[in-house]
Amino acid sequence: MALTRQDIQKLAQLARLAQNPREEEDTLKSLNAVLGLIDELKNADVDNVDPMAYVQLHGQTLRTRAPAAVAGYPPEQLMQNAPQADENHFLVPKVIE
Amino acid sequence: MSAPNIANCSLRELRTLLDENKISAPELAQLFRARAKQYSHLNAFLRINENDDYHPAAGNFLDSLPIAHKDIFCAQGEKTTCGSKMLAEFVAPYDSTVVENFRNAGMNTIGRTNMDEFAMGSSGEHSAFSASRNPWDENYVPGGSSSGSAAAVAARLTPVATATDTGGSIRQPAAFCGVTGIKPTYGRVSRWGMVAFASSFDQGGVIAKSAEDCALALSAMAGFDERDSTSLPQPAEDFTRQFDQPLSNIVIGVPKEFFSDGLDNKVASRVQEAIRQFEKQGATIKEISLASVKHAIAAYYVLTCAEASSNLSRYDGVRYGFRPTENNDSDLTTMYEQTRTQGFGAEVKRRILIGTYMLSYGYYDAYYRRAMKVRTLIARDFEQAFTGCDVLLGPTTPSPAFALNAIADNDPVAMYLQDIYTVPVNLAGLPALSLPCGFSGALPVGLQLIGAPLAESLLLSVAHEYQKQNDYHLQMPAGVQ
Repeated sequence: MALTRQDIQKLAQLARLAQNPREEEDTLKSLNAVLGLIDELKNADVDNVDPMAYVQLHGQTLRTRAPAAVAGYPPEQLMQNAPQADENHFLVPKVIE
Repeated sequence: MSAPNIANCSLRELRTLLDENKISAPELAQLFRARAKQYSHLNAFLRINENDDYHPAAGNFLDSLPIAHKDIFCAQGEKTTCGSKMLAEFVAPYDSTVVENFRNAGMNTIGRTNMDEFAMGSSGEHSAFSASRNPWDENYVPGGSSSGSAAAVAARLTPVATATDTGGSIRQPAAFCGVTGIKPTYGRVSRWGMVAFASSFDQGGVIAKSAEDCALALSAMAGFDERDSTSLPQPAEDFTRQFDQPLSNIVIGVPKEFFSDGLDNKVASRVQEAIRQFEKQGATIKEISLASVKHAIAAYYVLTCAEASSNLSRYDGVRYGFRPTENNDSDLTTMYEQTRTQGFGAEVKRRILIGTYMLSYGYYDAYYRRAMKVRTLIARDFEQAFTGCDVLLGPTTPSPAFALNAIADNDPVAMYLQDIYTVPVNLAGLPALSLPCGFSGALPVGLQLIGAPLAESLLLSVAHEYQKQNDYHLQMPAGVQ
């Protein structure tokens, strides 16, 4: 099923991306082309197959280590890249009127 | 010894030059930095260090040897842009484990290499800063996403460079640039401090001239890391330990699916020649089938775009990264939108939108869940193949390097199909490498070797045996001397 312009607008809104009408048209064409490629998945026989979200090698489970507290980084160090900050707080446009 | 001759030395030869005081560590780094500046039009480097950047580690084999890092690995106090306007001014607050490991080995960082934005691309043309060029023909792409690392090694601007591989981003540019590159088993190399694209696929590795140089560098790079939740509990190891063993006990599987209709004739011929070479060296060749790899490209783009759409949601203009200066008084949603719209390039936005669609209500089962099941099938195919083979072999790419701008921005499918032979490996988390196996005209051709999980040392030893019999990996591009 091909995507429509309305679908593209909805996806862009969900992904927080703005597009002008020409960009929307380009996106529509290229996403439909990619979906054409991806639709090939329908040909795969996946009955009774378990999904694999992560590679698991020889039964190794990768998330069984107990969490351990470690020293973090000083807030000043982590705040140095903040686009707008004030006294180790991130500043954003006013949210509450 | 002249500068080009030194630049073409192996790591062992450079080690000897240093140990015999024929060149000092600062002179060696200066030689490569000067070359990086001399060939700056290749756009292989985003930044070249002005000064030495190392702490001697006496006794370590890699001590004082130069290295370049893909601009995806954080280095404390230094810019790490990931090829994106979004991170153009980002200064890393800590070291990635990869940078730390090479620092601890005493390696001297000479600069940061160019890449496709957020590692999304197969040509090097999707860098927000400049498209890298292929040293073998500057009108051709070097491949991607580790475009700068491969071009830098090919032009002998560094003996070794770090790289990452989510769907072929080490092997494909290595193939296009006539160098050797290894993508290790998923979990071998820590992802701590490596900018995320698709976390269940992303894996760091190295590009160098030869399998031996790759093995020596990877030995310092790999190892368990507590800070990466998917790090494999494997200790550091010497990846040259299986070198110099005959190939007479090795069974090489050749998947027939890797010689499909879309394969360039000359690439096919070079790979067939390599197969005959391996046979001559005593290996047993066996045709095999990986029936499910025909679904690999589709599954790969569903899963990686889905993971990317989630991973890249962190770039919202609040905590770090780009945020437009205009509209600062606007509402929060507009700020998010303008940050992401202006900060990301076209290919990254496209993949975010595809991933958003794949994960959206009503399509999750049809696409995402189905792709995860196909991933299982592909992993099983490989598992089955390795019951009767030690190594699998095929072309790395369907064609040699293509011309700059040859694949239009609005034709993503043509670009995605470049990855047809590399993505199956990432879906299964396997180690694989690409090494040069000859030329198509003036352009190099890459041969791919794939191993079972954790079989890097075997893979590298097989590649090393092959490279003892030819000099493709030692040839330098005509325009680079």
